[in-house]
Amino acid sequence: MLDALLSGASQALSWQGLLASLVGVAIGLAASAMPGVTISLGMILVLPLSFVLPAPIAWSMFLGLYAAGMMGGSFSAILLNIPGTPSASATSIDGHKMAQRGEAGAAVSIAIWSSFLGGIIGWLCLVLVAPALARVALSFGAPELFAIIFFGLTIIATFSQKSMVKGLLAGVLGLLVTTIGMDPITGTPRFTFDYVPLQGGVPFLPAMVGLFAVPQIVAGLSVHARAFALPKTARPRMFESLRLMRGWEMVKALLVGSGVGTWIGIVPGVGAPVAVFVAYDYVRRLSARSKSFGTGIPEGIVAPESANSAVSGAAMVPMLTLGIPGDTVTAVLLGAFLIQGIQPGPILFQNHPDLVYAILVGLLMANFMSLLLGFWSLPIMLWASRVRPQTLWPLVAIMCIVGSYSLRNSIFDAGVMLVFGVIGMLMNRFGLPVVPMVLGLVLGSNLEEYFRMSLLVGRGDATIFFTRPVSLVFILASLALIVWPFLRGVVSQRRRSSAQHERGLTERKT
Amino acid sequence: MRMDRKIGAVLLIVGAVYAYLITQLPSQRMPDDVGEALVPWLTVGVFVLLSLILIVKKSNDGGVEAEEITVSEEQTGRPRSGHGVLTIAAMAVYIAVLPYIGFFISTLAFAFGMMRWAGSRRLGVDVVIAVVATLVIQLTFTEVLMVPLPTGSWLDGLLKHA
Repeated sequence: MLDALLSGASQALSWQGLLASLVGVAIGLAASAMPGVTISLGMILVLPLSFVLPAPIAWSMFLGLYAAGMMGGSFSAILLNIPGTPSASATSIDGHKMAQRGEAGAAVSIAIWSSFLGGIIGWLCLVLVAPALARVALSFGAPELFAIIFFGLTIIATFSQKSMVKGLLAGVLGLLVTTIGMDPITGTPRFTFDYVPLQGGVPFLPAMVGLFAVPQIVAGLSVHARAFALPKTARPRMFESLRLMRGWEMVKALLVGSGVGTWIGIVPGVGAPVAVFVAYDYVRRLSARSKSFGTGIPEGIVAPESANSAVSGAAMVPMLTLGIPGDTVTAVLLGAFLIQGIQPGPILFQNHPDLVYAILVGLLMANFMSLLLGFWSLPIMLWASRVRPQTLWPLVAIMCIVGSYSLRNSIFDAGVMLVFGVIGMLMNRFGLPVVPMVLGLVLGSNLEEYFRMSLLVGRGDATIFFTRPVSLVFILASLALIVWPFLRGVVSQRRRSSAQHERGLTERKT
Repeated sequence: MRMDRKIGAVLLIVGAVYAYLITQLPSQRMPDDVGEALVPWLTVGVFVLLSLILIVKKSNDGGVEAEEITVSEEQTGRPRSGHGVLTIAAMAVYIAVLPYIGFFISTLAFAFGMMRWAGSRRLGVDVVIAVVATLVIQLTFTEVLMVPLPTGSWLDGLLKHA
C-alpha cells in the first residue's frame, strides 16, 4: 500500500502532474466563468486527452478542471449577476448585492476561500470513506456488481424527478445503444449491419460529446449577444482576505455548507446545483441574522460555495468505490476510465492502487491550485466571461469535432458525435433528459457482462441475484427507487380526487 | 400531454424496429449462457413498456424538463428561431469536407463562416480569431499531443500534380 501511495503521489506531484493540474484549473476557471459553458462541457472538451496522456497526468487535469469549475462560476455570479454554472446560482443572491455595494473584492475573496475550504472538507471525506468502502466492495462477485450497476442506473430516477418515465426511457435508450457491436460473451456481431466500424460498438466518447455539447452549441449560437457591463474590481489579496472568514457565523456557515455538500455529493445522482440551494437554506435557518439573507451578507456566499466544492470530493466516493457516478461531472469522468480501459469500482483499488492515490493527491493539489489561480486570475476570468457567443461557440464546435476525430483518426467518430448531437437536441426539445442516456451508455456494457457472467456462474439460474444478501439489497433498493415515485403519484392523485369529492359533497349540502 | 403521447408513439416504433432486428440475430450459445439476444429482448421489453406508460399516463410534467446544459434566455439574450438545423447542417458539411480539403482550410472557413453567420460584424477581428484559433488547435493536436489531423486528399492530389 505504501508503495502505491508513494507511486501515486509522485505521479501527481511530478512537474507533468502539477502542470496538468494547472492547465485543468485554468480551463476550469475560464469555462465556468463563461455563462452557458458548464463544467461538464469543459470536461468533455478535454476528455480526448485521455488517449494521449498517461492516466495519472490526465486525471490531474480533469480534477483541476472539476475543482476550479466549482469555484469559477462564482466570479460572474458575484460581479455580473450571471452564474457561470448552475452550481453558482445561489452565490449570486448575496454575492451580487455585496458587489453592488462596492464590496466586490471582498465577495469574490470569500467565494474563493469558501470554495477552497469546502473542497478540502469534501476531499477529507473522500480520503476517509473511499478506501474503507472499497475494501468492503472488493469481496463482491458478478451478481453483486450487476446489482450495484443496476442500482446506479435507477439513479435515473433522481436525475429526472420531473418525469420519471422519460428519465427511465432515456436511460434504457442508452442501454439499447450499448447492445450494438460484439456480444461480450460469444463475440457475435449484433446490429452492426456488417459495417466494420460498428463492430467495436458505438464509440462512447463521441456519443457523449454529441449528447452534451451539440445542444449547447446550437443554443449558444441561437441567441443574440448582449454586452455585459464589466465592473471595476480591485484584485483581492489572498492572505489579507482570509480575515474575512473570521467569526462564528462564518465558521458555522462553512461547516454546514460543506457538510450538506459532502452528504449530497455522496448520494449518487443529486449533484452541486441542488446542494447549493439546500446549503443556503440550512445556513439561513440556522443563522442568527437569517432575515438579512438575500441582502448581501457573507454567509450567503460561504454556504453555497463551500457546498458546491465539497460535492466535488464527495461525489468521487461512489464513482471510485462502486463505479456509479455521484453527479453529472463524475458521470463524464466515469467515461474517462472507460476510455483508458480501466474498470472503475472496487477492482480499481485492487488493480490500480497507484492511480487511486494519484487521484486522491491530484484532487488535493487541484484545490490548492484553484486557490492560488483563483486570486491571481480574476481579471482574466472576468474578461473570459465577456467572450461573445458568436466567437465562443464556433470554436467549441470545432473542438468537439476535432476531439472526436482524434480518438481514432476517424471521420466516422466525428459523424457519430453529430448524430448523437441531433439525438441530444431532439431529447432536449421533447423533454427527455440527456444525463440518464449518458448513464446508460456508460454502465450498459458492464451491466450486460455482469448479468451474463452471473447467470453463467449460477448455471442459468436467475435466483442467484436474490440469494446473495448484497445483491438482494441493491436490487430491492433499485426497485424501491423506481416504484416509489409511481406509488406516491397514485396516492396523491387519489387524495386529490377524494378531497375534490368531499368538497363537492359539502358544496351540495350547503 | 398530447406531445407525450406522440413521443411515446415514436419511441414505440423505435422499439418495434429494434425488436425486429433482434429476431434477425444469429443464435450462438455457450453452455449455460443465455445467448446474445436475451439482454436486448429484456431491454427492448422495458423500453416498449415505458413508451406505453408515456402514451397512457396523465402528464404532470409541466412541459419540457430543464437540463443543466441549457443556456438560459435571461443569461444570454433572445433566442433566434431556425438556427438549430442550419448549425447542424454547417457542422455536417465541415465533417464531410474535412478529409478532402484538410483541417486547416476547412476549419478556417468553418470558424470564420460561423462567426459571421452567428452575427459577428467585426471583419478584421473575426479573421484574426479564425486564423489564430485554427493555428493553435492544429499545433496543439499535431505538435503537443502528436495526433495527426487530416491534410486533405484533394490538396495532396493537387500538390502531387503540381
